[in-house]
This record gives sequence, C-alpha cells and structure tokens, in this order.
Amino acid sequence: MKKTISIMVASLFMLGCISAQPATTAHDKKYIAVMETTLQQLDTASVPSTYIMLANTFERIGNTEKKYWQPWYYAALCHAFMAMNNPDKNMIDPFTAKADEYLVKASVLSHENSEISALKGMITNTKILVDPISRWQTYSAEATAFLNTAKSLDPSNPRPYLIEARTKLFTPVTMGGGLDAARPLIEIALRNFAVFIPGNSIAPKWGLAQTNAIYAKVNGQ
Amino acid sequence: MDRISALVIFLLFVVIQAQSQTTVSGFVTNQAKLPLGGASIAVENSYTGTTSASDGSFSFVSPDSGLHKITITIMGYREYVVEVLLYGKPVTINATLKEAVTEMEAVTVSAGTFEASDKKRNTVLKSIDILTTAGQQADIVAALKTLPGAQQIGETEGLFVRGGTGNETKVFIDGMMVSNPFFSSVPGIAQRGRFSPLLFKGTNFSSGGYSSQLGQGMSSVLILETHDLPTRSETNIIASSPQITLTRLQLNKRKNASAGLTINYNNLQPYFQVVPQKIHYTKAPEVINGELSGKLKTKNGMLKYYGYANYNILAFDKPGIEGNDLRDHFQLTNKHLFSILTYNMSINAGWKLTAGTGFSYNKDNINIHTKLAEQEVAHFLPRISNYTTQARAVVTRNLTGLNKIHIGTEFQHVVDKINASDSIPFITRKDNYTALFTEADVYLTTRLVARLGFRYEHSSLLGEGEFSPRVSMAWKFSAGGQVSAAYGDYFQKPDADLLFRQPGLRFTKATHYLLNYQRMINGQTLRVEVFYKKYNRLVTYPSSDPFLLTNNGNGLAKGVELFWRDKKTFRNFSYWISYSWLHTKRRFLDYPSKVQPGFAANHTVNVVMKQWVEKIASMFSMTYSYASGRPYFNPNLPTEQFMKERTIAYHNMGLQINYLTTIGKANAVLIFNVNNVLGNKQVYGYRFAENKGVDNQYRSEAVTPMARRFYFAGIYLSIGNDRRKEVIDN
Repeated sequence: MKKTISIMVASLFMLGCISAQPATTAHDKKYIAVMETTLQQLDTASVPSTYIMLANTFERIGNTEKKYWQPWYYAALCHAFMAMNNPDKNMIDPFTAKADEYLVKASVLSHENSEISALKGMITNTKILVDPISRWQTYSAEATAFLNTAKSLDPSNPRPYLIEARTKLFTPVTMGGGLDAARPLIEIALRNFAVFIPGNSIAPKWGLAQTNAIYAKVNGQ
Repeated sequence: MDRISALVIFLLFVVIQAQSQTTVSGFVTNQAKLPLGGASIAVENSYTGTTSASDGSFSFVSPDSGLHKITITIMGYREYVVEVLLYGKPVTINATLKEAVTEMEAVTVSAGTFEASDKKRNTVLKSIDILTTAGQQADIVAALKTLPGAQQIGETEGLFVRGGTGNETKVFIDGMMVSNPFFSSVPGIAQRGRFSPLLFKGTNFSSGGYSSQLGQGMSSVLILETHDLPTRSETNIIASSPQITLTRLQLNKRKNASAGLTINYNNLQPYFQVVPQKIHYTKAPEVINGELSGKLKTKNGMLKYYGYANYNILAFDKPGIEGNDLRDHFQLTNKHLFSILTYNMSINAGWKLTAGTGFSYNKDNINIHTKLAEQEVAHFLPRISNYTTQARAVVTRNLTGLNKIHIGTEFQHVVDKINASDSIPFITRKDNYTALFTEADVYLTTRLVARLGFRYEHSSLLGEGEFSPRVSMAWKFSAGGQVSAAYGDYFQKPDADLLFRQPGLRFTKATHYLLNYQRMINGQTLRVEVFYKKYNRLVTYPSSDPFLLTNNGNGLAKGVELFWRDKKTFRNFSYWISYSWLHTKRRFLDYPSKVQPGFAANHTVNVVMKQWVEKIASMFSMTYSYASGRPYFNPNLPTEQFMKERTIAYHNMGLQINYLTTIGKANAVLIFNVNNVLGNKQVYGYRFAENKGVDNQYRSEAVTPMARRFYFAGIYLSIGNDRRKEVIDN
C-alpha cells in the first residue's frame, strides 16, 4: 500500500516536472532559429519591400506553426510600419486592415497580451492619419483604451508608453499633444526599457532607438 | 511488363527521395499582365517560400519533395493556389491573380443615394461632414440640403426633394419609421429636427429610386442608423447659446452592454434678448427633453433601445394680416414620445434577422387668437394627436458570393385625433397599415449587380392595397467609375390633415426613373444624375370647398443634378459643389391648374468648403447656397396668373469655426456658426390675406427668416473614464 502511494506521489511529482518544463522539441528549436534570423532582418529593415518580404516570411511561419502568436504579431508590426511610413494616405487603410487581420490571429492564440494590445493601439492611432478631422475623436479614444489595457496587463512594458508619447508628439498642443504632453510618457518608456528584459529571444523588444530619439527631441536636444 | 513498370516507379521514387532540392521560379502578374511585386509565395505547411520582386519575378529553392500546394497571395487579389510535384526538376509558375472584390469594394447601386458613414470606405460623406457643414448648427437636414436634389426651404421644416413636399420624405431610425421627425410646425418658421446628429453613425439620404424594404415616402427617404456600443464610458456636455445638454454613457466591464441617459434643456429667450427677432415672442421657444438608450451585444447579435420624450412650448404675436389694428396670437405646446427597440442577429452563416418594434405619441395644442386691441375677434384652438405603434421583421438569406434575398413585413397601427372646441368636433382616424416586401441582390459578376424588389402595402383606412415593383442595377466598369439605374413605384398615404377631412381617399403614387454616373477615385467624387418622375392620384380639392377631396391630382418632375467633391487637390482642404436643375409641375391641394409648386426652385447651387488648420486644431467651414426664385400666387392677379409670380433669388452664406482642444481631461470642440453672413435679403414666399382690404386688394406679407442672421456658439465636451492617470501614477 505504502509502495503504491509512494509510486503515485513520485509519478505525480514527475508529471509536474514534465509539465513545468518548457517543451523544447527539435521542432521548436527550428521555429525559434527561423524567427531569430527573420527578426535580425527586421531590426535593420527600412524600405517597404523589405517589410513586405518579412511580413510574408512571418506569415509563412505562422501558417505552418499554427500555435504561436509571435509570427502574426510581427507580420502585423511590418504592416503597421508600412502604414505609418507611407507617404500615400490612401495606402494606410489597406495596410492597417491587413495588420488588424494578423492581430486577430495573434490574439486568438494569446489572450490578454500586453504587446498585442499595444500594437492594436499603435495601429488605431495610425488610422487617424487618413482623415484626422473625422477620425480623431473616435479612434483616439479607442487607441487610448488599447494602450491602457496594454499598460495594465504589463506595467513594465515600455512600448505602450512609447506609442502614446509618439502620438502626443504629432498631436497639436490644443488637442492634448505637444512636447510637454509627450515628455512624462517617454520618460516612463525609457525607465521601462532600462529594466525591461524580454521573456525570450523572440519576444518583442523593439523601440529603444526611437525612445531615445523622442527623448532627445522633447528635451530640446 | 509489370515488373518493368514497378521498377520504373521504384526508381522514380528513389529519384524523388534523393533529389531533395527543387528550384521554383516564375512571375506574378495581374489580369492586365502588369507585374505584382511583394506577393507572398508559400509552400503549404512549410517555412519555404519567398516574396516576388517589383518586376513580379520570384525564385526559391525548396528542400521539400513530393506533391505540394503552393499559395500565392497579395493584398487586394484573390489567393492563387497551384499543386506541384517537387522532385528536383525546376518548376516554373506563372501566376495571373484576379482582383479580389470584398463587400466593401463590390459595386453598389448609387442611383439616388447619398451615404455618410465612417465604417464603409466608399461613401460620399463622413459622419463628421454633417456636424461641420456651416449653416444651421448640428441639424441633419441642414447638412443634407447642400446635396443635389434638395430644395432650400426655410419657411417650413422637412426635406423637399425633387418636386416633392417635405411630407413626401420619410425618416427612419434603425429601420423604424419616425412619425414626427421635426418639432411641430409653426407657420412661417422652419423647425429643427428632434434628433441630434450625434446619435447616429450612419446617414443615408435617398433622393429617389430607393429599396423595397422601405415605403411611404413618395419622393425620398432619410435612413438614420444609431451608434453601436461606445468604446468607453463617458460624460458629454453641450453648452450653447440656446441649449444645455448632459449625456452619460455607461459601458459595462465586459464591454458588451451600455446604457445612456440624456437630459436637454433649450431656451431661446436669452438669445432673442441679444438678437432681436422679426416677431414678438411672448414665450420664446423652450424645450425640455430626455433620452434613454441601451445596447446589448448578444452572442450573435445586437439589441438596441432608444427612447425620447419632450415637452416644448412657444408663443408669439404679430400684426394680423387682415387689418391694420389686428394682432395674431399664436401658441403651441407639444408633447412627444418616441421609442424603438430593435434586434439584429445572425441566425447562422446563411441567415440574418432584423426585427424591431416601436411606439410614438405626439400631441400638439395650438391656440390662435386674433385680437383687435384687447378685444378677441376670432380664435382657433385645435388639439391634434398621433399614436403610432409599429413592428417590423426582415429575414435575410445570404446566398453564394454577395447574393442575398431579403423578405420582410411591417405593421403600423396609427391613430390620429383632432378636435377644436370652437370649430372641429372630435375626429378619430384609425389605420392598420401592413406591408410585405422582398428584395434580391443579384451579383451577376462582382461588377454588375441587379436589385429586384417588390412591395405590397395595405391600409385599412384607405381600404386598398397596392403592389409596387422596384428595380435597380449598377455596373462598375472601372476601378472608380460606375453607372446605375433605378425604377420604382412609390405609394404614400395622404397626410393626416387630409384624411381628417375625408378618410375615403386612395394612396397617392409616384413613379421614379433614375440614371446615374459616378466616378470616385482617390478622394475625388463626380456624380451626374438625371431623373424623371410621375405623380399620380395626388389629393386635390376646389378652393371653394376644402372638404371635396379627390385623388384627381397629378404631376411630374424631371431634372439633372451634378455633384463634385474633392478631398485631394489641396492639403487638409475639402470642398463640394452641387447643382440641381429641376422642372416640375403638379396639380394638388387647391391648385386650380398644373403649375410649378411654391416650394420648387428651378436652379439650386451649393458650395461647401472646409479647411482644416492643424497648427491651431481648427476647421473653418463655409457654405454658400443659391436658389432661383420660387413661384407664388398673388390673389390680386387673375386666376390664369396662378403661381406665375416669382420671389427674388435666394442667397445664403454660412460660416462655421470648429476648434478642437482639451480642457482638463475632456476633449472639447468649440463651435461658432453664423448663417447669412452677407445679410442678403431672403424671401421664401408671400402670405396673402383671406379678405380684401379697403383698397380692394388682398394685403400681403413676405415670408422671411425671423432675423437677418442666425448665430450659434457652443461647446461640446466629452469626458472619458479612462484609467490613464492611475496607470501613470503607478
């Protein structure tokens, strides 16, 4: 009897160990390796053709893996960057629509994710650029809600603060924007970056360079 | 023999296994053979793939072997899938991608339709256009009057469209009919709409040829759609020259339900103190109203409630028209209730249900006294009420592609009552109105759609039923260009005041024919529309006996309308120009012959300009409206001269400034608006005395605005409950 119990306890203990262990199979390693290489390319990307290429790569990874949110998140991020940096206002809606599509896939795989919420906030803010007069009031409230969710899910995440600070920077002073409004936010972003440790090698970590640039700008440097 | 083939198969298998690298290359083009760069080429269930270069070419090496699906995708095009055998021998794929047409981009019938929406991409107007069009402040109808087809009518409320009266435009909120969309009529003064434009996310104005899903607007319909769930809880405050409004919107934690309460108080007394009016108000217009709203998102649908109640009063006196020392005293009190409950749901992928029910009540107490010094010489004290109970249900069946069939029914129980203690006995008119309709959207291709509809309407009061066919088609022949055409019969019950006199009338009838061209490219819209309308069975009576009503009237209207909007050419500057040419004649009411009616101008022009200045977060907006003179009847002339006189042309320039700012935690919009900046003399028509004066002439007076200019100043505050501050403090 004693023996049976101890075997049960031991097997339960082992079971616990197994499930606590991250299941890093050979396949997962391959996934992480491909993601790491693609992310290195994303770090240095600057032209739209590279972003499209990378978005396509992330999409292929996402379609193949089916269980990770990160490929969809990065595919959306590529489209968000293309929307933000596009001189043609007419292209913003198609890019943000595609980004939203990717983010829906990401959020199905990972609920209550601070990074996904922050990116949603950034995309919503970008949509305002198409038609600021008619979109400002609804979309800015929506974007704020996404960014607030991102902050409450992970107060140490610097990105929601960076995104909000950048939006403030481009918003007229009378509408609640300007240097003074951006300053406290970018300071939080910078503080958070100083202590922020990405969960793993493929977790979002972008934004430090831009945070530094905005910090310099709001401090008149 | 069998052995040999087995060997071949075996060898082939070995070859496939051994040859693990295959080069896949080719070109991606669209149907016009133009290269598509940035397309994704992906081998299914593998990381392998690439992106096409700007010349459409691509090439990659696949480590996979065997039979694989390769998918080629790019934004705006349909997915291209090809199955290939990868076994070492290079594979070439030349893919021609077909343009994807989503519901958003598919052709829709544009004939007769102007839509303002933020959700749909290809609409002519955005919701904000309604709020920021200079003219009468924040009135939906005022903004729509700048569109082609609408008349510049200032003496009475309503939208007068293409030779139709204001009563021939019906208003719907979330599919439910609104019996009294405007504040009750006051002689010579146009009344505002009851409902704030801030309530609606979508406005659809049809100047003709509209769908069989709606009825009873012989000339036009205005379809308003209330907002869905708010994104946050908020408090809104409006403080303006005539009004104070408080709105609280509460969104629950799960973000699937909201409740709203609005309290509004209007009083023009302080304004009239500053800006003198032509008539002497003994009681300046005063309105108190409350609104309740509720929204609940269910698993597959949305339940919406909207309720509105108001009490308003106004009184004035002015010199009587019949004689020098007479004074007319007019007083109106109005009580109004309006409520609707609607439900929208997807039953499953193929079926959708839209249902609604509503009740409204309106009561007007009018006191008219004509006095000589303090001595009363005549009075008229009518009490008019309306009770409308309605229900509606539409089932939509989605077929393949974008094809759809709608089948629906409507029921209205309408009770109208009138009495005047001094002259009219109690009269009650009860009607059970039923309608059945069906409509099919048939997409012959994504670029060619036909909408076929039928509507049957029956009124128990009229004791007759009518069947109306409605057909429209649209063909999108290029990315931005399309032509559409519409035809339909439209029936309408005669107005309540006619049915009081005689219930045994028939439905009045209009037949519409429309042809429309629309080009919408990169923020520029051009529309040209021609129309022809026939009116039949209009209610008419001899001026000698207003109780001898018949359906013997008729009429016609034809015209050409142009609309140009440009949001692109100048940065942050948007403008539109509309022009309407109208030729219309009708014999109705007490008209002795078929003539151009008094509410119809032949030429109407509107120029609307909006400049957004980002630096000071302000929008400057200007509206200029012109209408050629309208006919009026001078009874001092012989009857052959009926409606031959013309008023002077109408000119109106309105200016508006919207300044966006934040006050504390609130988003604020400051608005300043002036109507008729240039101070042009505006004459809507002339009113003549009933009896000849001492000089054997009928005295007349011009019907004009109550003041030369109308000013409006206000502030809209929106305070959201967000946790921004708490989070930063942490």
